[in-house]
Amino acid sequence: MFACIYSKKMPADVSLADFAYAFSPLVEEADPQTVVIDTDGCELLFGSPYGLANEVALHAGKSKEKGGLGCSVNVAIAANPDTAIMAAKFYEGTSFIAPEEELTALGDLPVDSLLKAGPDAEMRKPKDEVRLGDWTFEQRQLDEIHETLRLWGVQTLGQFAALPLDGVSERLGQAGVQLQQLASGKTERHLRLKQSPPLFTQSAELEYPLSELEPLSFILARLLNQLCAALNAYALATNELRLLLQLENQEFHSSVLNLPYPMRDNKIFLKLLLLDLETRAPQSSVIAVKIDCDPVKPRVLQNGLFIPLAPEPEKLELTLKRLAKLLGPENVGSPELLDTHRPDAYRVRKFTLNAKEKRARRTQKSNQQSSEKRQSRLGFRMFRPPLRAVVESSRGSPVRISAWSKKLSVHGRIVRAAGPWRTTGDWWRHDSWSRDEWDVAVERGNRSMRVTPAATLYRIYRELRNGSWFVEGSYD
Amino acid sequence: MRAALSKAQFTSEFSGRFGTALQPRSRANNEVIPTGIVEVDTLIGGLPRGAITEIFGVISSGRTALMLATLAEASQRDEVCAVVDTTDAFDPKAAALAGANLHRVLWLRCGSILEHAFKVTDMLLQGGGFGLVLLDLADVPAEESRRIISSWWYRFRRVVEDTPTVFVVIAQDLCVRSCASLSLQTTCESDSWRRTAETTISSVLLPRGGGVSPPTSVVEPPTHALLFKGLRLQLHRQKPVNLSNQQVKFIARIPQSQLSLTP
Repeated sequence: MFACIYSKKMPADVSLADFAYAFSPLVEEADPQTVVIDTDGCELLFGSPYGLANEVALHAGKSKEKGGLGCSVNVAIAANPDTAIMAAKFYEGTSFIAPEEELTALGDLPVDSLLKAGPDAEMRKPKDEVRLGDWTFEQRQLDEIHETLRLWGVQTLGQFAALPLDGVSERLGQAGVQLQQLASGKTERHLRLKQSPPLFTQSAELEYPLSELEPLSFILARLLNQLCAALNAYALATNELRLLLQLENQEFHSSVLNLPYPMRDNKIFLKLLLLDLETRAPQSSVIAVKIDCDPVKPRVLQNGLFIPLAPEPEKLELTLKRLAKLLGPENVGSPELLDTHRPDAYRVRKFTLNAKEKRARRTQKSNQQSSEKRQSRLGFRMFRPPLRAVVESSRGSPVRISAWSKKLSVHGRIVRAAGPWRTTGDWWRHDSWSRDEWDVAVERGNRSMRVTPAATLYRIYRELRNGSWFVEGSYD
Repeated sequence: MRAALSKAQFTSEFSGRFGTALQPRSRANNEVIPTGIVEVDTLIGGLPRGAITEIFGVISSGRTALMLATLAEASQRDEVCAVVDTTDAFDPKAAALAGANLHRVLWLRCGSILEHAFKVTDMLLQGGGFGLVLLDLADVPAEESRRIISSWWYRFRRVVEDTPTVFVVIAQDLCVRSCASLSLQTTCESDSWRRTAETTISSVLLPRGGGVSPPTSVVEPPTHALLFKGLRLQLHRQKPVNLSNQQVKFIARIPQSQLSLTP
């Protein structure tokens, strides 16, 4: 059996669905003023469906503080939800419609109660969709059928239900047949249950503070298992995972994992969180843990025979995290050139595999390749930081150089030099640069080289501000 | 001869018990990727996948040119490439000018710590999926690179052998030795310069007492009339040995766009 609760003058600040949840977890919200609950299984609590209806009517009259609505409601019990809805809307108080007695109860109701039902019936446009029972109709269809029935002299639901099925089907079509079933109260359907939006949050308060990572990893593993099971149940994944640790010293430690692709692998999440906690350890013992995430649609990947080799995204993310832990996050990434003439201007951005960008780049590069003849390019190796050098000059041109560091050394006679090429820039900033560059060939020493030495090629420069010489790098 | 016979006898006797464990492993992957330098590809066919390639030579011998050409070729094929930069010497601008797609390049700066470079390489190879992994030891002194314990190389060879990854090591001297499937030595034949102004210019010397003296001597043209153009390089294949064709010459030029940037 199904019980429909209908409130005509409901206060704006209360929800009828929340009120209905106090009686049954199986609740359908037809509109904000109408809800249907499934009474199956409520017998132990309320005795019978009629007892449930009385209880609902009694509680609804109570004030909001006492768990009521603060207004009266109509309650109707019927064998199917659609009959219960129509009865609740047109019969005041509590009504009970026994099985097979639907037509007797609804027969006297006007046709308008079916075809012009709902609080916004007068404001609907012809193309608006109206849901009645399990079916969806266009308002234009309903208006046409209403006009036809009026011309036929059909005024009540009983008269409509009494029309022959074949005739209704021929003249009003499938929509007419469906409406006739609704009018006679002979529909059968399941409730469209109202579900509260899922919360992808897991938390745990610990019985005693944890100061080591290993026992904490077991807590994290359990919470992540539950979180990923919830994501899996809704066929979702996440691309942002947030961990919040409450510490014993009343402070909080938070970390956010921004994932390049939506994932829901609890093992990968656990490893990533542990690597993050190893890199940035909490300052005190942990007394509570909370993990939450943003649910997004999972990544759909179509593999192909001609797609080049690439690391699995989950594995790549884990590898990058491990590399960042070893080298530092600033030393791991993809180089990006800056739009400036400043020497050695680049930044390191997070390494991701972006398919769209990839395709665009390939087209751009292939065009460039076709326009420019393929030739082998000379490489350049940077000395970071540049080697401070002592340079002897003759008539403005460097003739001898000497520069040393722990592992690098440049010294000898300069046999050929090209320059100076003056470059300056960013004069309006405190870190402006101005220098004279030279390409120099330094005579190679004969120290234990197994091949005949040619000269070694370097790029050197002189700072114009203080006249200091530096070796920027070598051509190789 | 006796050793070979006894080995054959031993293998035939125990092959029933140990199956194929006594037979040498056949290489599953014979694929190569081109280096992007026509002359080099003609000589070696390309760099083998699932094996270690060693490129060694002194400074200014073209090791980095070969590395960047391979990087450009692989990254333009949309393969994911990793550069393990031991001494923080990788120049992204030079790589971009060589044609590398930097979006497909993972750059790992190891701060001149050799141990970090090897750990990072191990993680990358174990992680799998990379088309090209470059271990740059080019600025590590030869004495130090020769002291690298060989177990690292055996480990890398074992990890990489069943994968489609091209693993390239660049050093000043031979260090991978027997673990390398391909060993290449680069040398510089000569450096190439271009003179932009061919006219000789006479210097005007001012006498101490003042006044202007007539031109007295002819000197070399000014240094800004010269342009460094590139290097003429040689590549020797050290391993595998092929007596018919062992070396090739090629020219590595400074990119035109770099020259145009200089005022």
